[in-house]
Amino acid sequence: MSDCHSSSTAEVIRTQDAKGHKIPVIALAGQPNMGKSTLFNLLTGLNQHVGNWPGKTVEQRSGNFSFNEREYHLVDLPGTYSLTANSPEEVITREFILTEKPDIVIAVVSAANLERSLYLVSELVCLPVPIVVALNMMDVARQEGIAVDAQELSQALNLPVIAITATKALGVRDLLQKAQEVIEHPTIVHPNVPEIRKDVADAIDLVEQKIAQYVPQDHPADWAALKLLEGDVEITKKLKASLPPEIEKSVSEILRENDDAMVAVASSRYNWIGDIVRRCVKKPKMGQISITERIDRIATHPVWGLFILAGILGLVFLADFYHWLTRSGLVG
Amino acid sequence: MQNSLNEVYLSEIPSGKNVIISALHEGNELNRRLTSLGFTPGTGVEIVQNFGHGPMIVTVRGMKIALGRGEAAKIFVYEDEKK
Repeated sequence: MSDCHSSSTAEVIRTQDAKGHKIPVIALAGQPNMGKSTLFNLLTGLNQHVGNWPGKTVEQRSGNFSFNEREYHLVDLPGTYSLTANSPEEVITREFILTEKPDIVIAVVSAANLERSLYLVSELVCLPVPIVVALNMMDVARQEGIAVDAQELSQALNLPVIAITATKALGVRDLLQKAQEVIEHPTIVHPNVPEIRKDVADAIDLVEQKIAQYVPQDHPADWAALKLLEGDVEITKKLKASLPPEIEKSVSEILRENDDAMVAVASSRYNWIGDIVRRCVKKPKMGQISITERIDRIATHPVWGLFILAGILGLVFLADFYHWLTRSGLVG
Repeated sequence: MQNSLNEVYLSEIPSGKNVIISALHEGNELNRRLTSLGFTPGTGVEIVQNFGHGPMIVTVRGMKIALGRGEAAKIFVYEDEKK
């Protein structure tokens, strides 16, 4: 269906260079509203292809760019809060990382809201892929009086962290430089991963041993076991199809005994994040009310909110109507 | 201090109060979503806006989130006495 539209751009978006070598693939991952698309547009400019992920009504954007005389293929993964199969976006993101094996994932996080945005990182570090963290929105954080120490964050995560401000294109060169280094000299790094409550961690190990030889291709067994305990619908379905009945029975038994595992795993991730945030974020003293908060208070009110909505719509209508009147020569 | 007698649903808490999550109601699908948004037991929640009907706004982990009443009625909380 989209072939007729994409045929012209498809020639521009190459996956092999002139010598037939595969162009390194960089994937952009991040939660919604972290500035991921700003960074994507900044890097690819007009050289991008927009389509749908196969079989999903989720937009897929990819494009090429050159840096230091090397060409790269950039894929903008959909914005996701986590990597548990809650939505098509989350399934797409993790499937892409596991099966397409990008050369590197750039995890975009917001300095203005590090605690929230590190949740996705806490899941990404469990996947077998090199990661560089782009600490975005440094300007917004500074305006709000929040100071984030990128070096400290890098040590806490044991991952490269580059501070950027995508809207002003600050720090992007450093980010690409770092990404290039990691792609060209891949070394095995072990990022710090969240430590999970002992009893749940033991259950994960046990499940991992049982399912190890049956996990779908490209899926690490420890990761699949973790997702099973989190009650991930998709992984559960996949393994149900491939596990022999007796193993499936004993695995379900373990899952039943650990029915609070999902909450325990999420809590351990947030504890891990909490420790990191305490190490590298300095927050302003509480109590000051921002302008956004003042506007929110009125705009989300059940009565005043409606008046504001009506007012804005009315203004737009009036402006448009007035414009039409003057253009048509009926007045003025 | 956890006191099971004082446990109420998040949807019943008036604006301006601070509470702590004690548990999430059964229901895996919603729980997975809520936990990944930061609603885990032991976490403090500030009720920014609750008019007693319709959706409400809460602050959790420094982020404002609009919650449907039905969703808020699946989160058990108790009052945060330190605040």
